[in-house]
Amino acid sequence: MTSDTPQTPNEPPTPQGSESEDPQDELVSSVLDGEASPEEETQVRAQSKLFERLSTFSRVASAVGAPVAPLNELSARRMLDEVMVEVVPGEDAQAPPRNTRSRWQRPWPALGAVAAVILIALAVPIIGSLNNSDSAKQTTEEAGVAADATREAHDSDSAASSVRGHASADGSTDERASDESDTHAPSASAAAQSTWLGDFDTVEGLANEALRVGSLDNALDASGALATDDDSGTAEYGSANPSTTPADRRLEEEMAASTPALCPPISLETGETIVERFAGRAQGVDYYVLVTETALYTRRVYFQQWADCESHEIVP
Amino acid sequence: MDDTALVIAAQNGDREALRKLLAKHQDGIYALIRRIVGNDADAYDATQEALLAVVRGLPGFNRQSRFSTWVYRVASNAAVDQLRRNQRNPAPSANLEDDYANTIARQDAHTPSFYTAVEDRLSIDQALQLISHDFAMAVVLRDQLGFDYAEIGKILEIPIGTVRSRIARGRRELAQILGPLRHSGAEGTNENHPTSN
Repeated sequence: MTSDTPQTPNEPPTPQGSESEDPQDELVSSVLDGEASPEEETQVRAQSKLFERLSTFSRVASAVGAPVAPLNELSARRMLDEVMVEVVPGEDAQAPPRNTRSRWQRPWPALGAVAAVILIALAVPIIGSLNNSDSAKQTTEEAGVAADATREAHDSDSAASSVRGHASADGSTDERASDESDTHAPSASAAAQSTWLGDFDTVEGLANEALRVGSLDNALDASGALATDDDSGTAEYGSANPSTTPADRRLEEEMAASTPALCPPISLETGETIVERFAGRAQGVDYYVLVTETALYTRRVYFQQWADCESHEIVP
Repeated sequence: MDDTALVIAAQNGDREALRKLLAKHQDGIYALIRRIVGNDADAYDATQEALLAVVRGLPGFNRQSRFSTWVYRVASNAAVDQLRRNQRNPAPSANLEDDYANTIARQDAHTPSFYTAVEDRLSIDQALQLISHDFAMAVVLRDQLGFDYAEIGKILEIPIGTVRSRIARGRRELAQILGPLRHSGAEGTNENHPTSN
């Protein structure tokens, strides 16, 4: 019987005593897997201790082998679409919009990111004190929704560039858009830099629009597209100086009247950067919307109701 | 159409064949990764990374080994990469008791209080997180995907003897962790617990 010991440098410490436990575990395990000789199998079944061990290992194997819930059909197809788009040039026409990948169910690290992102987008003077964290947390849990989409690498590069250009058009935050992983508070004008996306029936619609606009080569064109696409009459268009738009002026006024609250800090993933800020309305609620991109060129959208938070912190 | 035919077609630029090839193995890859990384979101991301790696590496796949062997090697690497990413960027645990149990398990797997603490909530997914991922990988390849030792050896690029050892040690550690679950179940008693022998 072989007693090879795996030699892996990153192997965690073996629990005390396990090495000296039943030295016949390999034999029993091999019998369970049908990898032992008939003689070995007879030996195991003939000894009560080994047979009990066989029963134990059998239960463990059954637990590990219990069916894993597969990806649902939509998620599986979407994943394949994204993979094909990512690696096969020209696949775009066949694939659904890549910016529709939902991350609504991403576990709570993303919710944490939601909070931080939201706060960034609020970008109003920091007046919040630390005495309202409970309400902020509640807000995060209630309002945090996220979406992302995988993009082609070259698209992400150009999109990131466009965001930097968009921010610099305001003349005040050239560096922030390209270096959001730093810990800093937003400027008072950050909210005014958020392009107004329009009024949507659903939050997902708003998310898709944020991703669509964030994917375009430059923000100015994106703003034009918004104005063209929206026929509701409520959406305003962004510009190189979005603080001059009626929508942004309205947002600024509303924010000025909002109740201060402190949102909890967030930790962006390593390599995840904020590439675009937006504002928009869905189902009658105004949101700040932040588009980020991970090191793997996955785009995410974070939301927060703008009235809920007034300060933020990004933990690099 | 079998894997070989699909691989050849995909290598010759047949996108539909490539898609079929990926779809054919997608569930298996996801199942392996899901067991190793322990949650749906990370499993989704790592599965996608694995599929991307497969497509990117397909032109260089020389068909000297079975396609599935190569695919699951890629998948196992993607799972380990995901674990490493998680280690570099640990998410604050939503359940501090789990962290506590994890710590205790690594410090002393024989402490009875550990079993008492976790017996009602420790799932197989959590248990797999508590053991070496080398052991977990071998066990999952065997018990979840049904590969034989020789194939597992090829996938993990280790000798069969090492496969045998890793599976046995993985099961032993899982049995230690899951022992109280058996005790609370319909069958089995703590007499079967390995530490009681």
